[in-house]
Amino acid sequence: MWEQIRANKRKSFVLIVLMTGLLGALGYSIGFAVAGVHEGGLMGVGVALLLTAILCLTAWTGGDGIMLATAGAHQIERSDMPQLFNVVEEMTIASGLPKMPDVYLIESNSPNAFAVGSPRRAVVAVTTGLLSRLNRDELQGVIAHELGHISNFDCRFMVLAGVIVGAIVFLADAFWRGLRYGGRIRSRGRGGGQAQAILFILAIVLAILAPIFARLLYFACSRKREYLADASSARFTRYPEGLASALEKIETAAFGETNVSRVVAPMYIINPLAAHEAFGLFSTHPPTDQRVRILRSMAGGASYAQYEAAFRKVSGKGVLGGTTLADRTAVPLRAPSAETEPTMADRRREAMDVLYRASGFLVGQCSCGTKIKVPPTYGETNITCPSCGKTVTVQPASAPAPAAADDPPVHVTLEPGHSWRSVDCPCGNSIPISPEFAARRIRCGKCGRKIEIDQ
Amino acid sequence: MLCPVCKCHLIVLELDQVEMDYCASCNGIWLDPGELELLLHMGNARPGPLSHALRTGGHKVWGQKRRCPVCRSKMLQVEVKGPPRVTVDRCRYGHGLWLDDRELGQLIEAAGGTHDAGALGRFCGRLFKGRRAPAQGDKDHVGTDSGQ
Repeated sequence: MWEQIRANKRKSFVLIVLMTGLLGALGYSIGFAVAGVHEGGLMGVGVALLLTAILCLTAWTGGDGIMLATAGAHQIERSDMPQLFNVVEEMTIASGLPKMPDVYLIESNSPNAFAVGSPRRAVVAVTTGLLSRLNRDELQGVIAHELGHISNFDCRFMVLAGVIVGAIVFLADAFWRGLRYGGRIRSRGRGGGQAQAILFILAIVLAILAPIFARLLYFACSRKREYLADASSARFTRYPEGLASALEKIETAAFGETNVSRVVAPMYIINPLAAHEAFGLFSTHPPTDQRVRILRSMAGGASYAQYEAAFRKVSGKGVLGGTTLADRTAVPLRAPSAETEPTMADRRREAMDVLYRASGFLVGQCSCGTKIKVPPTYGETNITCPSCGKTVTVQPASAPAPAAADDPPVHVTLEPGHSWRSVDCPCGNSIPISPEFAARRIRCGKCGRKIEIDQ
Repeated sequence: MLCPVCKCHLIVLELDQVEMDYCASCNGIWLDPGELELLLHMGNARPGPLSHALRTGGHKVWGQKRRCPVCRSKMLQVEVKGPPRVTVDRCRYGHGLWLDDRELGQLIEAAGGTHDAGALGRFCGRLFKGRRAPAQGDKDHVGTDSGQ
């Protein structure tokens, strides 16, 4: 694992150096072509690097915030969505991240998820559409994929690489516009005419090729990282089928949604804007059916080696580096979880209610069965029910069963036996207890209450 | 969200775990693609002309004043064929459909078919059960008539 991260860092470093070199070359040739002297070229390099430095600084200090704001994400607490937090917590432990990432919720019917940040300061964002469609195993697969990105340092790298690509595209674009609207470029150098002409042509060639090249580089490593994150997800969850069926569900539902920001799109688990584009060199994500086929053909275990074997079987070549595969730890597959799943409507209502609470909606229940939710800016608290005509008073919504973290623990006696049993929390949640369970205390995943078990 | 017609705040109505945004002053409803999907999913109905209209089709209308409550872009008008035959406003970026009072009435009246207009119509019929048939329906009537 650590070997893999180190190899990743090394490769990333080489890539960043390559891209910076490309940026410098573009800056130099544009500078020289415009000014006609060597100093002009150096100045071009200076401008290019300065531009990149400014962009990097912005991305480093406020990038996560900007990204989340663009996507319209709200931060949520454990008491809002305990099940989601449980999944994130489990996967944090499985992935060995030093700190649990912050969890954000995005209101969008398109099912998707993305992660930003580095292992010490990470954020996972999921959409309401994702939560309403996926069951626990599938959600776990998706969260593990995102945490895989974080623990492989992908988010950091992709932001940095994205910034350099952006700078290259920006410079090339500025050069083109300068050519088109800025009139003729005059030679100022003494006798430097020929060198300038050559560099001028070089600048044109670079201005055409550099953005294409930079994007190709960026997309190629983006795709490779997606496979790696898939492999990590299989390993963390020990259940590749979860991610595979989640990817299928996401793909059938994601396309056709166009209300996604272009900036955030490549960060999602499946690129929602790539709906009708054929898979090619410019895709940020590998084709979904291939990802699913690889995950499904993993047999006998969930380790990196098994993922590599499955990848070879499907595509005929390898994808993971030798250092990753050196990790020979056996990771057995697990069976799907046997919990009864809440319906799609339950899950959607839960996710939407979190957002309503976050924006301060007032809620009232009419006796005819209609629930009325009113935005805080509405002004009135007595609403005529449109369904039956009765007057309903709305009031601020309270979180379900406030987290009773410091309440005295509840005592529950567990009937003796060697099979699976369950413990009922006063909040109504039923907690399954495995036959091997030996601890004296558990915490309810729904309300956070401590429960002492007398065996 | 603001009503595309009268610019006042929309309220959210929830019945049987399905939500709908509703304008209390003009009686129009805003149809969210997620809720429509949920409705179809729960009723095991097949996507019909209305959910198709949500994604494709529609044309710009000269003098269109109605804007999508989510993204504020001018909405397109879509003719939904099949029962009921109505013209609704659709967000060009797929944020949802706007059905005004008259269109909603037509939908409720046509409820009972096998199309998803039927599933939605049945739902709206239950939600707005205090409503009269649209032919004789005047706007002020809705909400004052208490249903049994």
